[in-house]
Amino acid sequence: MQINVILNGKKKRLEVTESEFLADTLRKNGCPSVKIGCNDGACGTCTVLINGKPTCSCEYLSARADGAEIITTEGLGEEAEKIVDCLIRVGGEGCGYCAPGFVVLAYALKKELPDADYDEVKAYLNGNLCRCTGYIVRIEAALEYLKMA
Amino acid sequence: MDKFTYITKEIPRVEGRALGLGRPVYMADTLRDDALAVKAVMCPYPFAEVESFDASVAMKVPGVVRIFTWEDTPVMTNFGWNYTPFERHILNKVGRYEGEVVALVAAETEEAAEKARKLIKITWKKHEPLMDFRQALESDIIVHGEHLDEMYIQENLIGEYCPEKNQVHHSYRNYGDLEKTLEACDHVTHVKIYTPQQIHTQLETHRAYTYYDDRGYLTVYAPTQAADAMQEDVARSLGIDRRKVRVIKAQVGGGFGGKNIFTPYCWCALVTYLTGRPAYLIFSREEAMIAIGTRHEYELELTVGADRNGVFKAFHATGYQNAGAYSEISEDVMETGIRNSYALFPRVEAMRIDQYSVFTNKVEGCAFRGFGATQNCFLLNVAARHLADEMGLELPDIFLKNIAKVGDSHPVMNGYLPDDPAYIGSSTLPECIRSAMDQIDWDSKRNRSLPEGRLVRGVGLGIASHASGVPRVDRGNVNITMNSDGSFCIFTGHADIGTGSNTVMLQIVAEVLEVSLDHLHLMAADTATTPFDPGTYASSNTYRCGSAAKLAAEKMKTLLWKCVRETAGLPEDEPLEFRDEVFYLARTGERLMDLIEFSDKWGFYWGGGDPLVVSASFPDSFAPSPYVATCVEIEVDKDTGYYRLINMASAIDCGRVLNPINARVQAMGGITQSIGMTMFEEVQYGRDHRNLSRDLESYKIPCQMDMPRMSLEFIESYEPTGPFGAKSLGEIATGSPAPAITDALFNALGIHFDSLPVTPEKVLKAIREKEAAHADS
Amino acid sequence: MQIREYVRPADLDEAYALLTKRKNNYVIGGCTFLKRTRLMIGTAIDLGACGLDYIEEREDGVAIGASTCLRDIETSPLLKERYDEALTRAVEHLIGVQLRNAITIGGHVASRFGFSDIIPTLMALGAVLKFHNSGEIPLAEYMTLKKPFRDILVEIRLPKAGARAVVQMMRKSYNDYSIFCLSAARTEGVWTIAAGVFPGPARLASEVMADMNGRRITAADAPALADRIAGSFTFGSNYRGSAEYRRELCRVFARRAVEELADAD
Repeated sequence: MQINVILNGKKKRLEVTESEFLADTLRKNGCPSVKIGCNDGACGTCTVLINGKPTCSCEYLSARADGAEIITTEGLGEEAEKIVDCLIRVGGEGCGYCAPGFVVLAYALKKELPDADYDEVKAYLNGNLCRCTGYIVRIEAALEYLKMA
Repeated sequence: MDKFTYITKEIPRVEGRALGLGRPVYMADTLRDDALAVKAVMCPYPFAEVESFDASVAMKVPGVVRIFTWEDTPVMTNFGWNYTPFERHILNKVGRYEGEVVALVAAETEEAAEKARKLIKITWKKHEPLMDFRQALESDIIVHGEHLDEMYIQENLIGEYCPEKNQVHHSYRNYGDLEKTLEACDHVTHVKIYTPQQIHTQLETHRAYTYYDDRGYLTVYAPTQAADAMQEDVARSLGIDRRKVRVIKAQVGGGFGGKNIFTPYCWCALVTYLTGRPAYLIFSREEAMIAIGTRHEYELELTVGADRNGVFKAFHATGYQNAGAYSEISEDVMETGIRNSYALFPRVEAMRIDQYSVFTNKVEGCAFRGFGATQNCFLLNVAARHLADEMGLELPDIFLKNIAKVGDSHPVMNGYLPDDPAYIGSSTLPECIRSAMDQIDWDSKRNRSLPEGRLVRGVGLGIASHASGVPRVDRGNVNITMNSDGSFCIFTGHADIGTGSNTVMLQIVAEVLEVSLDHLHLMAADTATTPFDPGTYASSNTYRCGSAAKLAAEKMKTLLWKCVRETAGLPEDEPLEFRDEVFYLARTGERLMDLIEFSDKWGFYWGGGDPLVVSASFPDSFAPSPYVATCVEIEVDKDTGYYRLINMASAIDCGRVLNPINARVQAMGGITQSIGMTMFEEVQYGRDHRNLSRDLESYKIPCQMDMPRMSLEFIESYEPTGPFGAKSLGEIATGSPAPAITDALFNALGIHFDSLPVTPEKVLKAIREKEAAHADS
Repeated sequence: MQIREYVRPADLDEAYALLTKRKNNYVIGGCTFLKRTRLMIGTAIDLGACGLDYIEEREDGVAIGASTCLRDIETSPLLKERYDEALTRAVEHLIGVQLRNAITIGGHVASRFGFSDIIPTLMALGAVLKFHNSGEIPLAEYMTLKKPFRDILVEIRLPKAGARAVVQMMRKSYNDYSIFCLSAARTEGVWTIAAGVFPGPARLASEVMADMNGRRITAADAPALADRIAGSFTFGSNYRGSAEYRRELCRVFARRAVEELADAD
């Protein structure tokens, strides 16, 4: 079947199967930033924005995305550059595998809770598992990003 | 105060931006459309043999190309190095652990492979499995019993490696006169610890991609920690000439020792070898959890004898290590764990260590950050804690009295040879201990009486040691060439497994050559083009590879300056200045040339001077130890057993800190992994010994909200044998959280927790037992 | 899970007709749980166009549409204020924001998951389910049915009057499933106590509640009531925890809940 989406600002018609999940669909359609960590909704590596909300794309049936606006790290443009700049200055990218998912989540954080304090940021970031960085630097990077214009 | 331009600076990792933006730099981003998708067929039981195997229906699935079994893999091999026994084939008819791969399906698409895999009909002959490693040596169940004569055992292992009784290794060391020394001790204590299997849980699962390149080399492109070793292993396992195989390391999405294991690569290589087609195998999260390997399960006992002041006089350690179904690296872990940890207390007069590594029907124990030292450091800390309690002494004082000092030496230490004894070259561990204690406000929080109330707090202290590389065995090798554009290229076999070690290498070379990182290229971990490297393990990148890089850079600097003088017609000893990558005559300040002008004049384009090429090798002799001290404050709910970490403070001695950003993250990451091991990570088994820890819902790794506030201080020492005084950082931080947390629990509750993980249920049970014992007395 | 056909009907009648057309047609919510099963779904019915994404105050109470995601329930100012932040507490630890944006309350509740903390919490708040064809049924009763309805859950209704509530859970890692959950609430003074993750599905402590709602309860009554509440449930063991530990947690949580919600001395 086909679904119509707006993917990173562009109208796209994507060929999907009824049983397919969005993370696989996005990877096949020019979004390598969407990575599969567990395929189970437990790690947040595959986080994308669906209609503005950060969502686990591996748990989102592609068919459900028909008519939706989807943004991946590839579509965050200058904001992604800002977030990544904050991230690498504290070493928060780690091995890099879960980093793009964090970038999307940090963007969503700023939209949803622009005045978040340390503990609110910490709670918001909880859905992104990371085995490399020990998490603290992620909070620091997010707080720096919130401070930016 | 030393003035550096590149090292010790907070330089973000050179690939950081690409990683953060999600650029397609991982193996899974590069697959060709015609690559075969490979799926593994795994044994669902801990110990079972294939009785019948019927792939006829599976083969009919459209898109299925071929199904492989043990009949396609005659070579006896191991998935590791050529110095450990060959105990298996690439595909086995006997599954010796749940998850052992017995067959492979190769198809045009993953969907077809998955469909076919489900349609393969296998009947299994189940055997009673050996699951308890403590029973292994007495058990009638012999894990490798039915193919002992097929195995290949290297000569040097004969004697200690006895698979006919499930013995993988017997580690025996005896220094001094144990019995006499113990008898003279004022106090003797005995402890027993248990540490569980822990799963690496890298966010990128294990995977490989193999293909024949345009010249016909069987090429393996995969996230790996040891490209050269993998090349040898793949060639051996397929029974082909090593020179026909090329391994190129891809960006690694997390290693921690778990991508030393070569299994996915061999299977994928088999498919390409037998079909001629590119193939990829990406493990699902479940497969990655159960089928690769875990941190070694340990049960260890230690008898410590001390004098009345708490100075350790004698150690007697026994116990078991669970090697799992295949021995691979287990002997290494056992020996390394001992060397790396007992060197914390080198002034004991007598030491006997008498331990066994054994086979079981669990997945193999493999390399996992800490490599036996995590478990052994826990043992030593626990013993110190018990001793302090029994003798009415303070734990920090016990540590300060006994820990290694600069100049100490002991035969158990890394690199010790009778005619070239190893000694401690650098240490700020005493300062680290004091720093961690100050950060946590130990003096006001650690009082001797047990706190009252429902919610009680406690503080604890843990220390650890490790090593920098593998002594007397491993070397770092680096080549540097100058390019015609005035830039340089560093060739190294070292593998950055996501830790930023590439950037540290560049910083070291940049510092020596006085050339910016932008003008340095790095070619790494490609067996066809880069020099040999043993692998990224044992916290060796900075110390071993960085040292080689420094030596090579020094050679290049000497050569470059010589050639610059030649080009400028200057005498050999003419002093030069080099500022902002421009050469000046030191005498007059006259500008001579920049690097691009040099390369033009030297004649890269028009023929002339010899190319500038240097090579250097650094043998790791002493693997000097980094140190860590961690203090933690916890709060326990005595009604439920639940406890939380409030504050954690660590101080680390890794020698000179070459990149503060990297160092901090490495430390915090290691600490976090051990928080998991201490509080809730363990592989659990259910009915019929089924592995229950198969996904991220049943096996939890620490999440953001599990983290306490964390402070970290680096207290630099200067290691004379390390590059710019650096040691290592990769594994040291895994050693201290477990002892610190259990010590804090002891401080809060007066109860020793010597078995990990310490869950709320265990805590509550112990609290109730203690209350009941009190009520009785 | 395999899906042969995906449909997004325009209204509930159409959806219901599709559901009852064939045995292997299913309503899909977030699909997060179905994904892990081996279900062969004929027609997957997505209620996304049926307008069930709401949290609204009505004359007779507060209604939560079945397509509302857990994150919206977590952050709703109305639900927080009205029900003492009980629902926020019950969901906020679940993995992460991005998974809570993907899970719908309808799918979760209709499936009667044993690992759920939201279900006992909704029960304690007196939730009533409205199904398209089968009408209304209290959630507590729905949990005891032999089989779930083959129907479309339209919305969950909560009483208009606010509640004071205490939700307590025990887990190891913060974003792990619970080992045990006890939710207690008083709506206009009436006690409702529900427990879940036994590890089986949630139940009310009905007998003890009946007694408690016949008299004045002070903090001094808490220990005895806690014993009775713990005694009224059946606990099981699994790899997350033993039956004994769950029973002990129940006793402790029940005591604390009663102490906190009791009338003043």
